[in-house]
Amino acid sequence: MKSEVPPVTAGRQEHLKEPLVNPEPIEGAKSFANNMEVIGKAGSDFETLCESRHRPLRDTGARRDSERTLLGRRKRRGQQAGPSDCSLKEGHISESSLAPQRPRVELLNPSEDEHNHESSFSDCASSPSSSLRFGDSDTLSSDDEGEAGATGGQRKASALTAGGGAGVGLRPNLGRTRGNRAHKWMRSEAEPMLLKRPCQSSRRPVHRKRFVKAASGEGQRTQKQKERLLLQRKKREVIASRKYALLHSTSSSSEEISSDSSSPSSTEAEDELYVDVSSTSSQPNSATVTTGTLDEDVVVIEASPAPPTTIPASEEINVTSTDSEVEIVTVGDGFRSRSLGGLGRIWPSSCSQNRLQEPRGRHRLSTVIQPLRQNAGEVVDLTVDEDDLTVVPTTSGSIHTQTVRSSSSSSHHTSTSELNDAPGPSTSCSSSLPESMHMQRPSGSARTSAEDDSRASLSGAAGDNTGTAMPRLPSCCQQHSSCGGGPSPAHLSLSHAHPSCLQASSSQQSNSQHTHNSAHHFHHHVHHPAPQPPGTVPFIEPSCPVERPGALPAPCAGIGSNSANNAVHYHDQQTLPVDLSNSSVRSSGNGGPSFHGSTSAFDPCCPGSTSRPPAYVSHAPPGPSQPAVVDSFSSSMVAQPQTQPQPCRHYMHPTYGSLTRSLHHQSSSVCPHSHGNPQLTPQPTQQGGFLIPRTFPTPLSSHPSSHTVPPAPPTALTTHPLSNSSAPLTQHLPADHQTLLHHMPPLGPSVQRLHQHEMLQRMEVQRRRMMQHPTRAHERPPPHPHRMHPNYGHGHHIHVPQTMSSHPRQPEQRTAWELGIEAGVPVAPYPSGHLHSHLPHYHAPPRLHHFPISVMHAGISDMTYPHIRYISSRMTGFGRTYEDLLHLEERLGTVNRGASQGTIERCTYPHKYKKKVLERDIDQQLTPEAWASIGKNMHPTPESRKLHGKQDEDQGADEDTEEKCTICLSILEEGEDVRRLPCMHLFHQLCVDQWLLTNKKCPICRVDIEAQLSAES
Amino acid sequence: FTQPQRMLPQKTQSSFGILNKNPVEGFSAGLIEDSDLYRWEVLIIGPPDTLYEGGVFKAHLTFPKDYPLRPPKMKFITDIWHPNVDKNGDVCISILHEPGEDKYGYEKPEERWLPIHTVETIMISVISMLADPNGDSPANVDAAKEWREDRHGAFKRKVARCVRKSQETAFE
Repeated sequence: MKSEVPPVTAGRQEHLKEPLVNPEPIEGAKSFANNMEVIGKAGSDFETLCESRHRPLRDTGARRDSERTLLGRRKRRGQQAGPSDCSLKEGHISESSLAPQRPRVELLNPSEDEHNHESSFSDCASSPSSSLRFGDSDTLSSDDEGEAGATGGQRKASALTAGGGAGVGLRPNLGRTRGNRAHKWMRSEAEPMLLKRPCQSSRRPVHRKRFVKAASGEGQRTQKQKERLLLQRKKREVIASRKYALLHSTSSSSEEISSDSSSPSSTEAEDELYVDVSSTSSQPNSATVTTGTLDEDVVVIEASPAPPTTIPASEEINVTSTDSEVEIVTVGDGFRSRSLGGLGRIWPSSCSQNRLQEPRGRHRLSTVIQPLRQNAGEVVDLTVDEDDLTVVPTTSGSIHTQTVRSSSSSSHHTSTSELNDAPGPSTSCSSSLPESMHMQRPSGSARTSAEDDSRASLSGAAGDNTGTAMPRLPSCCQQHSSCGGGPSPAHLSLSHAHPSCLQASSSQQSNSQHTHNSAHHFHHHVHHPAPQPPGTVPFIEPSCPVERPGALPAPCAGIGSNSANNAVHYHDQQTLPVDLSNSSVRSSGNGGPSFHGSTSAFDPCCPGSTSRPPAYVSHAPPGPSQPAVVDSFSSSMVAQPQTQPQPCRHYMHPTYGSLTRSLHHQSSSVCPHSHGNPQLTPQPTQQGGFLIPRTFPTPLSSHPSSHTVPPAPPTALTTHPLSNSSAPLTQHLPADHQTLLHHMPPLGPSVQRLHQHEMLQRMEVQRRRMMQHPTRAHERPPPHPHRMHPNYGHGHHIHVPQTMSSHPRQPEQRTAWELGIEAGVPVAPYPSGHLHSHLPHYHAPPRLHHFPISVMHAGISDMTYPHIRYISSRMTGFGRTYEDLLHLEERLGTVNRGASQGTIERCTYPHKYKKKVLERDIDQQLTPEAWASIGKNMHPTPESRKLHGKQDEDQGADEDTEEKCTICLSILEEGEDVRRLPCMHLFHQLCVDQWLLTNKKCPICRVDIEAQLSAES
Repeated sequence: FTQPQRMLPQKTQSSFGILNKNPVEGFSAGLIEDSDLYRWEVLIIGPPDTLYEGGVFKAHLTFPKDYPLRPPKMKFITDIWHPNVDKNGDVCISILHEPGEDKYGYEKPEERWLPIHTVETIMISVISMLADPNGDSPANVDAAKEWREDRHGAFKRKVARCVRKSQETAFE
């Protein structure tokens, strides 16, 4: 789509310029209305949800119109090349952008819109342009998609803002932010757009915008998504921990884990998503925190391998780490699209497969989503490069998103609505499908989010719409489908929560939206503060538990109750998570800045992000201010991630427990929120700073100052972009960095905690995966088909292998973790140096998942083996890797069956033997009165006397009555140390212990003492 | 490790006691030397209704120092033609194989030595072995081959020869 968009965009741009007028879009929307109505309904639902929030800001009708128009535009675009979209976009852009820029903007917007639509269409229909786009960048395509979604969302938002006069307050903010961002983008993009170069570049911007929009739209969703993201982050963390263990697998494994835990979305995607989500959800604060955590986790995982090279980078890495995030961040533009795409992809996959796909998520992103993801994957890997570029855009995008957020809240709604509409239409209209598909990815997430929202708000109608849309949404579909089925409740609940949240958030968002920057701050503050107030961790946890329990809504509601803002954010995030791409985008959109921050934070948080940080850097150059924002965000995010990780983990578990997509979403979103909340607390102040940073401070310098890590990242990855953007970033970053620093410290502990948690989570995740896989697997297929994306098919295939690979990895990771835990090695280091090191790893991971992982594994395996052996020697059952088992098998003859003394002590009941009381003894002991009391029947009779006498006379009889150790064949004597096995067989301790040391089975019945125990337990 | 030392005598002694009190049909056991509890001599009566019926086979049980954690070794002193007894007279039955060790890959861990085994249980297993050779894990390949291919021909003749020889030597 994107590719088409660019070429088309030129022509379209003109067309679009003409159509720039809102009416067209509206018309388009109207035209689509029929088909879209359902979608529109969903969108409206979403809108309603969003609107509840946004409405205050914008006129829901306007939004709806705008959304419809957007949808129509999209459809039209998809059909007609989206002149109307262009018009809308232009209008939006024009509005957002200055008048002079408008044409460009419009062109860009249209192009963007087209791109968005196209991207979506391309995705779905794989339009020729899509090939170009894909060719340009699968990443781009993904970005485009993501952007399209985001931009669409943004555009929508802009359109809403611009088109929907109602959203003036928001619009102004949005317009401002958009204007700023849009201008930035517009400028950067607009020119290109005018040239149609923008198509790609603009695409990115557009996408970014869209993403931003989506993000903004996601804002609400974002909260949900954030929660989801949080969950995902947790999952990611878990994955990350796994990854740590596996390192390489970290990304994949983390993805898997993350997917398992939080979201189905691929780990990377999830990571990104999570990051995004977190960023979006907690956005700057929580997001960063979560991301930080994630990053940390990832970092930890990767970090261990990763050299501390970029400590400054670490911050940047945070940013870079955000690379993964960056993707998300870039999502704003390319990144967002990527992230979105990735997210979308991931989400869809994740949604569909959720956790299952998660592991693949990145792979999916790279492979499945390939166009998007591959690009994204490339981006991820290259993220540094692309991300940097994209990052800048993203940052701009983020800014846009921020603006968008403000606007996006409305725009988000619109975007979501649009997305919803798009999905709806797609579902309803086959023609729209491509778009919808495209939309679905971005919108898919949006849908998911929107669906969630709509579900929540319009659960009924939305449910229908979503239901229809759901199918299409590959990843989303699953989630949606799941949502529609099981998930739907969660979504509903989410949506319910969202409504309240949205409302609250809407108010908040509206506020935030009104003051885009401030709004961003607000969002951040609100999101972060709100989450934090509840007790960042506690709050999260409460929400998480609640949400997790399966009463996702409840959690949301709870969250919402806790903090409407938070709740909203959570809801948004939750929804966002569902939408994945959208959510991420939305999340970014919601916390546009925060998202960026979050993304950046994600980056930091996510080891994978480390690679992204460079991207950020690279991105930074394009949009220094944005990069700065990103950095700041990243920094904040990083800090947040740290705090978040724990919550996330906790949440993750609960979420995992809930498992449902919604749960995942919620969890992810929740986690981010929670994380974000905790982080937010510190960040809120920072958020303000973030906003500033977002404005384009040079974070790097500050980052370094605040975080030792920051310097390195800038130097390595960031440097490229950072050098340009870094300067601005640094300024902003300082605060962020500080926040980051604050967060950073926590990270270490959190990371450690995470490790344990991750371990547990991983275990749970794996178990659940095992449990869930079947269902998910079932889920997966549908989503992919829905997605229509060729990638998905690949993704599925790929995913399967990934899961396959991932599973094997997990054990290793676990072992590694365990080993690490025992050694106490990995966790602590991660925060600082590891992040940096992680960055490289992460860079590699996206592309080199296997390589890094393999290397990591190799290293780990080497490292672990001793540990494992040691462990195995002590603990027979635990922490053995396959190799270990093999080794053990070699040694089976002697060691294999034996149980450690610890196991023996643990599984058996040692005690002093006490002879059974014989009748004669009783007779002797009992007084006649006692006997009398016992009863005549019990009175010693001559016979009994005889028996006793016999016993007394015949020791053999005594032996018969006495217990004897069957090993030594000697009678158990009073006071002897005996051991009773789970099978109730009694032996001398010395006799049986020697045996159990060589064979942990009962000598008599051959029942494994451990098996017995486990069975009993 | 006073336990094993203490244990072993106890067990062997108790085993003796048991054997004395509850003589098991089909075999008799006693110490080769009264001073060495770790070396036993057993006389196994060929189980009825088998090719070994009528035979009186003398075997030695050698207990390891860490008995009963590890199984004793049984060696037929009397020549015996049996698939599970190698030509040196060493008995190859699963319960006499050390736990966790599967030299031949045929035996299940559960079938191997357990510390609760006694001379009595071992003898029962050996008698069972005589009655029902296990062709899957032959210690005497030739005997096993004959047992499978010509159980009532060459194999029977060789067994009969051993039985006669055992009868001759049993009471020497």
